[in-house]
Amino acid sequence: MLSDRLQKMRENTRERFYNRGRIAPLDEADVDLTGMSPCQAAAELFVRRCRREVPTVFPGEKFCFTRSQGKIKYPKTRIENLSADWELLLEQGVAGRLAVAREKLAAAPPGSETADFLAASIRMLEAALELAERYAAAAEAAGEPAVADLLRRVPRHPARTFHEALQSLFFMFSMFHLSGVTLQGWGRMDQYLEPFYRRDLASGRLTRSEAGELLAEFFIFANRENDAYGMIQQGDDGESLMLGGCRRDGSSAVNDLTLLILETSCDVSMINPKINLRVDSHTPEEILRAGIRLTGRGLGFPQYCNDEVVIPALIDFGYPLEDARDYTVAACWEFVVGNGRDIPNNMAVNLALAADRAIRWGLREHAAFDEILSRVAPEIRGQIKMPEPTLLPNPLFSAFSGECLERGRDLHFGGGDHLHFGCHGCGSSTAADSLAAVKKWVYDKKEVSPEELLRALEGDYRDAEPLRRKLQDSPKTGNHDPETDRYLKFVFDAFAGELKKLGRNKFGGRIRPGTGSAQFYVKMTQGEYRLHLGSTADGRRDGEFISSSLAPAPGVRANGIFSILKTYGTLDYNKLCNGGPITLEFSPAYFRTPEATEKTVGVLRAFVASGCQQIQMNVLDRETLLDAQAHPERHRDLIVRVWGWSGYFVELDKAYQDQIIGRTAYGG
Amino acid sequence: MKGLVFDISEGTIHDGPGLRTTVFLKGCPLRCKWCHSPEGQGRTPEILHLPGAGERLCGVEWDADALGEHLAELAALCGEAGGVTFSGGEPMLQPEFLLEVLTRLTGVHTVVETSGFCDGDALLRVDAMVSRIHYGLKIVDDAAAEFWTGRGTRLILENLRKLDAEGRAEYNLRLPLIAGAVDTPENLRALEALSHTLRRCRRIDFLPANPLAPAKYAACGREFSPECRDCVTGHIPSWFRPAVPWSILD
Repeated sequence: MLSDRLQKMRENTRERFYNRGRIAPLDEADVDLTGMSPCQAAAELFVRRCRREVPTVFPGEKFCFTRSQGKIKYPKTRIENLSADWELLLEQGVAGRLAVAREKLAAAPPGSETADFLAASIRMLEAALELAERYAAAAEAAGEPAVADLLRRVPRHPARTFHEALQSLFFMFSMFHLSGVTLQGWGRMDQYLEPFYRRDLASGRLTRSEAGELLAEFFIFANRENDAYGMIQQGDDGESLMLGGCRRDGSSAVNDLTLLILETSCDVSMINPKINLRVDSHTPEEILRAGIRLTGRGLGFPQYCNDEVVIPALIDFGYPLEDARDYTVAACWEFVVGNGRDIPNNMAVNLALAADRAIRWGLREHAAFDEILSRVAPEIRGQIKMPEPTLLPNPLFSAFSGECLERGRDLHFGGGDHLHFGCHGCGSSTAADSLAAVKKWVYDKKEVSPEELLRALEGDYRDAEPLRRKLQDSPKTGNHDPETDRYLKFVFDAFAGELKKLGRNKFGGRIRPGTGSAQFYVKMTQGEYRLHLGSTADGRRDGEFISSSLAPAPGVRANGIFSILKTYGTLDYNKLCNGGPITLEFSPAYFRTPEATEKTVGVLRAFVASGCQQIQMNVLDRETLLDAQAHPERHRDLIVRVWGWSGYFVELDKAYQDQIIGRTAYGG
Repeated sequence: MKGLVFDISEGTIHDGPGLRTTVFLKGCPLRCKWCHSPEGQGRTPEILHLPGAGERLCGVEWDADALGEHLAELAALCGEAGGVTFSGGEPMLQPEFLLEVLTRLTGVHTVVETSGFCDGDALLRVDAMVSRIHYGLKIVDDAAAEFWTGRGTRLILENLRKLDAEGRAEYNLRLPLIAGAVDTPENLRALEALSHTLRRCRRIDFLPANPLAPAKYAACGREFSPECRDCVTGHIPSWFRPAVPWSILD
C-alpha cells in the first residue's frame, strides 16, 4: 500500500503536474557546432542543455530531478536500448570516472582521437556535476536541507546508502536522457542495489518497509518524464529492469530485494519501470508467486525470460559465458550483454511477406510445394542488407559503459567488445499458416487451383468469400500441429540462415535473429510501407493485423495455452538470440483469487518446461477495452502491454488499441 | 476404442487441484434446466451455429490411446500439483473408453466429474483408477430431482453409498448453487442429513451459476428453460452445518 503522500505524488504524475514548467528543448539546430569534432559537438550540446535546465524542487520529496526541457529531437544514431553499467556509478561516483578520464587524458597524445574523446567526456561529467550542485542550491533555498546534502554527495561520490544509490541512479539516468540517449534500461537492479539494501538493513538505518517506501517513490519518479521520453508511442520509453536469474558464476542471483521490487511494483502499478524476471527450473516458488501476483495487476509485466534457453543461445552466438549469464534486456525484450554496444532493434524482416511472395510465385509458375519452400529464403534475403550506420559518439554514456574510458574510445567508436545488430522476424504465424493453407487446399486436396487462389489473393478476396473461409479451415500455428510447427520452424531457420550469411560488417558486428515484432505488426499491415503485407493465403485480408511477436495469428483461437507453449517450444532458440516474447493474453479469472493466482504460477513452470525463451502474460478483458475506447475519460489509468512495453490504453493511437482488442484471451 | 469428446480445455483452474487439462466427454443422461453445456448433452456429433462465427462441429471422435497420449503430454506441463480432469456431459456414459484413457495416465493426478447417474460397478472400476471424484449430486429429493434434472435420484444416491463404502479414491460433493433449485431449505437440510451418513466424503463444494448459459442454447437450436431464466447463484443460510467443510468456489 502506498502512503498518502506517495498516492498524491502518483496522482500528480498522471495529471502531469510536474511537467507544467516544461520549456522548449535545446536542439542541435539551435547551437553552432561548426568546426567541432563529433565528440566536442556532443559535449557542447550537452553542456548547453544542462545550463538551460531550471532546477525545480518539490517540497517533501525524497529525490530530486525534474526535467525542464521537453522532448528533444533525437539524432538517428543515438545510443538507445542499452543500460549503463550502474555499478560503475555506484562504486566510483562521477568523481571516480572523472579521475580515470583525467589520468588517461594526461597520457594521451595531444590532438589524438583519444584525447578528443576524453576531453569531451570530462566536460560532460563536469556539466552533470554542475547541474547537481545547482539542484543542491535550489533544494537549500526551498528549505530542503536533507535533499541538498544528498545532491552534494551523489552522483559525485560513491553511494554509501540505499537512498544515495537511488538518487545517484536517477540523476545520471536523467543526464543520459538529456545527452540524447533514449530507451534506457535500469539493468539488473536487484543485483547492483542489493549490497546497499543489505547494509542499511543490517545497520538499522532502514527497515524493509522503509526501503520499500523509498523504492516506491523512486518508481513513481520513473514515470515523471513519460511525455519527454516516449518514442513511437507514449509509454515506449524503455525503463526496463531485470530481476532474478543467476550470477556470473552461475549461482542463483535471487535475493530479498528481488522480492521487494516485485512487491513495490505491485503497489505503485504504473507503467515504469517495466519489470523483467529471469526464471529457470529452480526459481523459488515465492519469487514466481510474486511475479504472477504482479502479472495479475494487469500491467503487462513482468516479462519472463527462461535462462535455460536464453543463456545457451547467447553463448552459441559467441558471447563469453560469464557475460551471457549476466544478461539483461533492452527497452523491450532484446537480450543485452555487457561490455558492448549492440543495436538490438536495428532491422526487421516481414516473414509473412517472404512466404506470401514465394507462394504467389509458386502459384504463378505451377511450382511444386517444395519449390515454394525453397523460395522463402531468397525472399528473406531480398529484404535485408548489412547495416553500416554512421554512429555519433556519446562520451558521457561511454564513461559508464565497460572500459571505454580506460581504453580511451567512445562506445560508438569501438570502446566496447562487440557491436552486433538485432533483426526482428515478424509475422511468423501468418507465414506458417499461409504455407499450411496452400499445402492443404492446393497441393494435398487439390480443391483449389493455383489460378483461383492467385486471383483471390490479387483481388484481396473480393467475391471469394467461400474460398477465404475454406482457407481459414487449415492447420493453425499455436495448436502444436505437426504441419504448422514444421513451417514455423522452417521460416525461422531460413531467416536465421540468411542473416548468418551476411557475415560481419565494418564494426565487426554480426546480425542477431529474433522473434519479436516491435511496432511492425502495425507498420507492415497499415498503410504505406516498403514491406507492406497484402492479403495472405491463410484467408487474411489486406489491412488485417499480424500478431505481436510470437502468437497465433489474430482471429485464431488456439487449442489452449499448453498447445501454444508446446508450439513455440519447438523453435531452435540457439539460432534466435535477439529475443521476442510469446504474447499470451489471459482472462482475469486466472488472477481473481489468491488460490487462482497460485495455480497460475503453473503456467510459468510449463513455460520453462516446454523450452520456450520468453513470455509476456497479459490480462485482457475485451469489454473493458471497448468501453475505454468509447469512454477514455473513465479509463485514464487502464494499462495494457503494447509490444515490449506497457502504456496507458487511452494514450495510444487507435491502430495500436485495435490490435490489442483483437487479441484472443484464454479462459481459466 | 473410440470415444466422443466435445472439448479439451488447457490450463483450467476450477476443475481440481493445480493447473489442469479438462476433457469434456459428450453425452449426458440428465437434462438439468440450468445446464451451461447443452452442446455436451447429445450422444452424437452436432453442428453448432455460432452467431457471427459461422458453424462449428461439436463432438470429435478420439481413439483412447491417442487421447491418453495427448493428455499425458499436456499433463507433463501441468506440474505435480495439477493433472487431468474428465468432465462432460457425463464421462461415465462412456466408461470403457474412460478406463482405457485412464490406463495411459498412470502417475498423473486425475479427477472424474460425474452426476452419479451411471452404472455403479463401472463407477467403482473408474474409482480404482483415479485420484479423485467430484460427485455431482444436485438435488436429494427424488421428485424435485426429476423435475429439475430429468432424472430421479434413486440410482444417484445408491451409487453414492456404494462409492462411500467400497471406493478408494478421495471424493467431494460438487453442486451448482442454482437459486430456487439447489439452495432450497428442503434440499440443503437433506444434504446436511445425507452428509452425516457418509464416511469418506471430504467436502462439499458449491459452484456459482453460469450467467452465460442461456446464450449457448441458441447455438444448439434449443431454448433455455424458462424456469431457470435468471440462472443466478443461490445462497447458503447460516444454519447449514454439514458433517464436512464446505465452500462456494469462484
